[in-house]
Formats: sequence, structure tokens, C-alpha cells
Amino acid sequence: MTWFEDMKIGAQIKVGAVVFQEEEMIAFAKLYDPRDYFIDKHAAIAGPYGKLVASPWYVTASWMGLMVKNRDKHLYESLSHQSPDGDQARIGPSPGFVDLSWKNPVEIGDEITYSLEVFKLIELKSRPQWGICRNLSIGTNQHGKEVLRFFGQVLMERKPK
Amino acid sequence: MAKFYWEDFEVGKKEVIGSIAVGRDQIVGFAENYDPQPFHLDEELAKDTFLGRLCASGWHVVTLFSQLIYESYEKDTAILGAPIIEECRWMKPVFPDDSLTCERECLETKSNDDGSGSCHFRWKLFDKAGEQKTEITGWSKIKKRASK
Repeated sequence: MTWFEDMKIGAQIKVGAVVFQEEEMIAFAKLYDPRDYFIDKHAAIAGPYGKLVASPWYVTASWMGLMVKNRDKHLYESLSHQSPDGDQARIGPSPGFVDLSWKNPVEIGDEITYSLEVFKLIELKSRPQWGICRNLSIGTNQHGKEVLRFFGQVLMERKPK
Repeated sequence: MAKFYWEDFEVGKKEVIGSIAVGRDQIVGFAENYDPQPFHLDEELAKDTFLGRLCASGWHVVTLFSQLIYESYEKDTAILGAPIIEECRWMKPVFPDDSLTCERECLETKSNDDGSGSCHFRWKLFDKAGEQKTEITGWSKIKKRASK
């Protein structure tokens, strides 16, 4: 990972891209968001989207799974400095997120490309060993339409004194 | 045929809408695929982390929230699409073998020009002991009964 002090506003993670397959969309929905319009093609016709689409939480969870995988590969770009012992830095949990929207639904076969960019770094007086990194995360489909947008945040460990 | 339309949601009304269980296997199963961080995967790995204990991914918690609101009222409501989530605060970790109870409060309603209205909700999730773990605020778009 990376120490909080090595983070920079504008740093990016190429989170990655994924093609949404029908089987996986339905499998996620059955386990985690069992609404009939995410599971059954016929029921979906009468549903809010008029067709089977991915659960928005699957669109978001796919982002998260890819992001954690690529974050560990030091895929931060545009960092001016990376401490050699950065791999000792721990990542903490997230206190939450704001302004999450899914402007367009994700349909079977859509390819979604995800990105993340650091936009704010906050020192914590109450927890001097940790800082908060706030990020803008976006997902777009193959037509350039936005399918996911939110401001996330994560606790990052500070360099030991 | 929906039971509930936009006009049925009353500003200021607060009610407990339901509960859902959170099992250890579910926590680990979700995390393995979608949030493979040590504090969501394994009790031993979790010990040296910020949270110190195995707990559910916040993203798993929001899917439990989505299940809860669907079962309790959204499946009978003329909902139009996904909500806009204004804020989600993961205030305290959700541990295995607990349950989450949801209280919904309607903060505001707004009429739209397209035969729908919007409702501003605050949803709070509490564990078995009554401690609040998560708070979510957002807007749901719902058809008007009058537009049928």
C-alpha cells in the first residue's frame, strides 16, 4: 500500500473494466439484492427498467472488488513520491460515502470501465496515526454513459514517527 | 399492481420497517468476491487491523439494507429505478451473527412534473443490542397514484 503522506490530490487508480454477464448479474442479485427485475427476464419487462439489468449494488460491488485488487498492485499513478517501505502501510475501513448515483442502468453485455481519483486528503487530529483520503469514483459504459458515480473515502495509515 | 404510491408517504413519519440477519459465512462470502480486505475475511487477519475484529464490508451492509427495504415496502411500491444515496455513514462495524433492524423516516416529499414524486428518506440500521451501526439518507422516485 501507500502511506497517507505519499498520496497526492489528483492521484488515480486505473480500477479496471468488466463485461457484465447475465449469469453473474443474476447470481449476485439472488444472493444480495433479490428483486425480481434483477433475477427474472420476464418479470423485468414489467419492472422499473423494462428489461433485466444489473443490481446497482452489483455495479458498485464490482468496482470495489476490482479496486481493492488493483490498489494492492501499487497502481496509483501520478504520485510524485512513493516511500520504499510503503508496502507496510495499512489501509483502514471507510467511514462512508456521499452522492452515490447510478444515472444509467447496466444491461447484459455492457462493458463498464471504472476510475478513481483522489480529490481531498484530511489529517485527523483525533487519530494522528491515520488520515482520510477522499476519492471520486466513476463507472462508464462502452457508449461513454455514466453508470456509477460517488465520493468515497478510506482511512490510510500515516508514516510512523 | 403496486399498493403504495408517492402520495402514501407522510413527512415526519418514523417507523421500524424490518430486520435481517447477518451471518459469518455471508460476510466472508461477500468479502471474498467484492471486498477482499483482511478485516472482512478472517478473524486472525482482522486482529492487526484498524477494526481488530472480523466484520461485514460496508458494501455488504448496504446490500442487506437494499434487501430489507425491498421486502418491507419497495416490492409493493411503484418505485421508479434506483434511489440516489445522498450519504451513507458506516458508523460502527457490523459483526458476524448479529442482525440489523431498519428504522425509516420520511424527511421531505417533492412533486415532479413527470407523473412522479420524490421522497427524501433517512434510514437507520441498528444491531440486536440497539446500537446504531449505519445511517443512509437518500431520495426515492415513486409514481403518483394520480398519474394512473
